[in-house]
Amino acid sequence: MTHVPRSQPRFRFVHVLMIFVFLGLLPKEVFAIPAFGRKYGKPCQTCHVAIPKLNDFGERVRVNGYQLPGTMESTAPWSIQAIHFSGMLHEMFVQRTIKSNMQAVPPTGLPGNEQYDINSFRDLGGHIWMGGVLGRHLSFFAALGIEQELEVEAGRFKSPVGVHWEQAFFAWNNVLSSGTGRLNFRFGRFELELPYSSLRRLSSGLSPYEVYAIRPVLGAANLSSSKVGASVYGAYSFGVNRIIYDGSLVNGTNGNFDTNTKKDFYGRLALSRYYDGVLKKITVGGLGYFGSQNLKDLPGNPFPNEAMIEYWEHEHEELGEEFNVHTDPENAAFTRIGLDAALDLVLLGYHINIFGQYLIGHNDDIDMTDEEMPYLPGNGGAEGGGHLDKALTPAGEDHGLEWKKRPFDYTGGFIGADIILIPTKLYLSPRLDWVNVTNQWADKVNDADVRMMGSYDVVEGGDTTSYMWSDGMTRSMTGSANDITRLTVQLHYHPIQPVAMMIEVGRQTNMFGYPEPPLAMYNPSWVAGMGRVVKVNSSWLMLMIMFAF
Amino acid sequence: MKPLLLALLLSLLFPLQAGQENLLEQGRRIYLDSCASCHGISGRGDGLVAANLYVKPRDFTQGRYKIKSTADGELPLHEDLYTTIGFGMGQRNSMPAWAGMSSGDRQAVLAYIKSLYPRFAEQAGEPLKIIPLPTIEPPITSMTIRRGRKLYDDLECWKCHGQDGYGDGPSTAALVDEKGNKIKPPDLSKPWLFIRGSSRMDLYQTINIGIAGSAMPSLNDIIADEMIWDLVDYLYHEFVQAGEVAPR
Repeated sequence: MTHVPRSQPRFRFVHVLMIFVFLGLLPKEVFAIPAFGRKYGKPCQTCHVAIPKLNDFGERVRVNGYQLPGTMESTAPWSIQAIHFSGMLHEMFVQRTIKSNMQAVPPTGLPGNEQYDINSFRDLGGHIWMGGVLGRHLSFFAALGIEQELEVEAGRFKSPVGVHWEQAFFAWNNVLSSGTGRLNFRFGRFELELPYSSLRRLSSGLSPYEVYAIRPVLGAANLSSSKVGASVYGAYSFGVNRIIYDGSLVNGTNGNFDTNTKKDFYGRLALSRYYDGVLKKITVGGLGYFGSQNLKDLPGNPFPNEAMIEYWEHEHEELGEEFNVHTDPENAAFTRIGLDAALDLVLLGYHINIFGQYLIGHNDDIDMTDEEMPYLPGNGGAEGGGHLDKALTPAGEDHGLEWKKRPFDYTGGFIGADIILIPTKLYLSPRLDWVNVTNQWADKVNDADVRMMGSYDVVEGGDTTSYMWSDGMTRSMTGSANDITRLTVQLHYHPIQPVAMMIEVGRQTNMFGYPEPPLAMYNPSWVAGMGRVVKVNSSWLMLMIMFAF
Repeated sequence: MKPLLLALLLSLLFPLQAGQENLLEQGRRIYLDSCASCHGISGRGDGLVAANLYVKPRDFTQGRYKIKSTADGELPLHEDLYTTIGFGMGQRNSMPAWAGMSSGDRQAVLAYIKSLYPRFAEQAGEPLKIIPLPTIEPPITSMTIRRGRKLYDDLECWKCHGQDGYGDGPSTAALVDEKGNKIKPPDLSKPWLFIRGSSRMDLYQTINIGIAGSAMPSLNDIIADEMIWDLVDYLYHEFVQAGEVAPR
């Protein structure tokens, strides 16, 4: 066993870039589907507030299997002449300043208290959409995203183009032949029926709906990514009221291969009501996501391998303690519960849509253990020590190592508005997002430090050497950041129908990061990536132009 | 309790049969599902989506319809409205073609829409002054096209539609519909924008009857029938037939 004199944060530049990618330095944007506009020969605003956000009518078309509400097409699937296809190209310019306010642990790889400036054109990316109706009850939709990725190899930037399925599903619509989408089934990869679609929001990739996007552990599910599975969804109108529902059984792996033995369940129920006058519509709803994830599936396999577990068991036996590694690592549970409300009104001739979401997120345990987690002091590494130095340090001294359970919890939401300044042309969209995270990395659990700092002396040959251990990310080093707030204001302009231009300014206090733990903490092969709020502020100006065809 | 819940669930899932519903109730249900987003729950053309549309939706409580076969000031025929629902209104207007809606549903929703304007009920059964369709289409010739162009100038169609038909005439800035909403004349070089269609007969009807509630007047009592055909021929040749060989 060897000890290092002081545990050091060991972030590498590649981590910076990984984080930037996660934090959305590369904005992605989606667009209206011109294929449907072409099919019905109608301008975008028939179905969209501003592309890509759907309006009330567009939502009714969508839930009816891309058919006009109240209609069901009768063309036989084998006699359909053409499959609708369309695409979108976009280019953007981002000016962004990222400022680290962290003294000692700059998780973005920046030196403490320094600034990183970005002024960059992003290369052309785009989407290809295919969708339509295959007869009376069948519809399909597929979206391929083509994006320039940012990678680093051997210390050099690379920008390969990546293609990914954003969505690809097949639906059996109008099972009850209502023509209004009362009951639909869907199979494939799709976005959950969220109160506010992440794929069709007006803001850029720099400002996702933060509470939907948070992933407490690297690779774990978030709400905003499309899911693979099956769902039953629809809407039922009675008079001016409308019930919207979704029940989905999905993998919770954001479309990646899933090996856990349980499926995730998502449910949503909302009620909307039309009004006559200044107030046009109120929608209130709730959602619940009840998921499980296989900790062994996470990138880097943070769950200890068999050899490690065996080692731990051995150490526990020596200590006479009960071994408590997660008993069901393939099904670590997490939940998301949310409430939402939206108002549509026409005030002084301006149509204003005000919308809000409140969400509570909980992960049972992000540390791979059920009840308690062995503190992993700063040694780690090749000797395989680290997590049980208590037993392995000289003379088996007790250095006050703690074993704690660490759930991950957050609350947060957003409130925003879409205001039509000039019909069909100009839209203003301010939005405030906030998130409060607890039990994150380096937080106290049950009023006790989980990741502590300490020191001990080793006397060898008459010389005393002091050793200090810590996880390198103790509270004192990360500061007190628990909250993320972000304010964005966007102007969305359509000079002509197929072209949209977007100007977005944003300011964010703190960020949710996915740093790898210092190598001193874990065996390097784990790469656990515990989520936490880092004291890094940013502000940006983003210009984007999109062209759909 | 369970039977009640089951009954509630079934009533939510299974639609009532059309025959069990009053026609107006059926029409209102369809209207709220399919039409109210734009036309508003009271039919005043002020629905949730209306504020963001190029062309504002019809106010059904005013009873003025753009596409009809009757004289100015007259109610439209039931068939006019039925056809409009089925064919929609051009490609700048957001009114889609509800061709996929069943005949029964269209009749029901029409009954409901007509109930929003009492004059339909008050004048039920009374004869309407119908502007008849011509029985034949006279041939298009270079002479009729030239005469049509002259009429286009003389009648000052260009004031709205522009000298070259691009919808950029000097009067366009001041054009509003009957509710004061700003409107634009269609760019004649884009026949897909014509809300009544772009066949010669469609153009004839548009010029002859006009478009109620907009700035497009009826020329029915202003110029002779032959002159309307001359105008039709000019527009049809110049814009719809563009690219084709001119007739001799």
